[in-house]
Amino acid sequence: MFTPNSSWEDKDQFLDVIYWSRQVLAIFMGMIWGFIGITGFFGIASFVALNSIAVYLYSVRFNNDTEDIMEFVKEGFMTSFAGFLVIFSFPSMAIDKSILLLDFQTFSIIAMMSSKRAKRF
Amino acid sequence: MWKDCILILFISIFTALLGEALTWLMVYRTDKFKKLKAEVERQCKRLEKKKEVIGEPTDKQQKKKLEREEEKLKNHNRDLSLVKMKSMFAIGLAFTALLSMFNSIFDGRIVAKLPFVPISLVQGLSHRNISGNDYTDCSFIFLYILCTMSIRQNIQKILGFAPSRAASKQTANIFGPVNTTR
Repeated sequence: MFTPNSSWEDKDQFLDVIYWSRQVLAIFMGMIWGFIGITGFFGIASFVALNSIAVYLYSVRFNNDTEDIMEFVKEGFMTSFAGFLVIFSFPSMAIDKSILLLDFQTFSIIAMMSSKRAKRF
Repeated sequence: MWKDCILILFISIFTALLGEALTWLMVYRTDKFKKLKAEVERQCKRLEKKKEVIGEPTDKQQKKKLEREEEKLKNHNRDLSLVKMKSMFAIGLAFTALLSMFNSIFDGRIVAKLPFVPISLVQGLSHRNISGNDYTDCSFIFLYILCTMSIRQNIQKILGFAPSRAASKQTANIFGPVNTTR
């Protein structure tokens, strides 16, 4: 899977690797996009570009069959795009963000209190 | 709002699983389907191999032979879709009823806030039965379609019910026409 320029005897196996890694990548990208707060057409266009580039680079690096490169780039695209849109649209991201911010605030308050206590002693 | 999202996600997982279970009961487990599927896959692989060996056929006889093989494969594909069709029709009817039920439950409710404004072509779906002009408000049907698009195929792949790549290559897809020697 991570051997550069390896020849895959079964093409379907390589396509399966691309398919599933693309799904995982789409979910991660959706989470990151949602957390950072990227919105609008730029969010979608950047996902399409980055996801396709990632698959293209992986195919070029880890498979010596360069004839079917477009087939590799197309593999599982629509499913991953739909998955990305679902995760991207989830408002739960906003809740997670507020929890994280809350955690950061509590952490800083605790750190301030402990430093004051340390100074006193 | 996020509760509705989770609920819709579970609804789409449930309906996808139900659909696959029903299809398995009515189609996938039948001997006729298994036989036809194996035949189509075998022929697809044979045809692909032949095309690889011959390349672009220059000889008329070779071209005719390939065309005959393709015709055979098309016939088998047609038989396969005929086997599927009856049960798919029944399942489709059941799911339309189920979808209209969910539609009436979530009618006029904003289930999610989209982080983008959909193109005008999709706005009819994403803003269905929702008042106001904020097109980032998402209706049930749009989120359900998105969830189903991503979940159904993954479930099919996990369960091994997805059509083989060789067979689906022979049928037309959104990216291009069928590969033929003609």
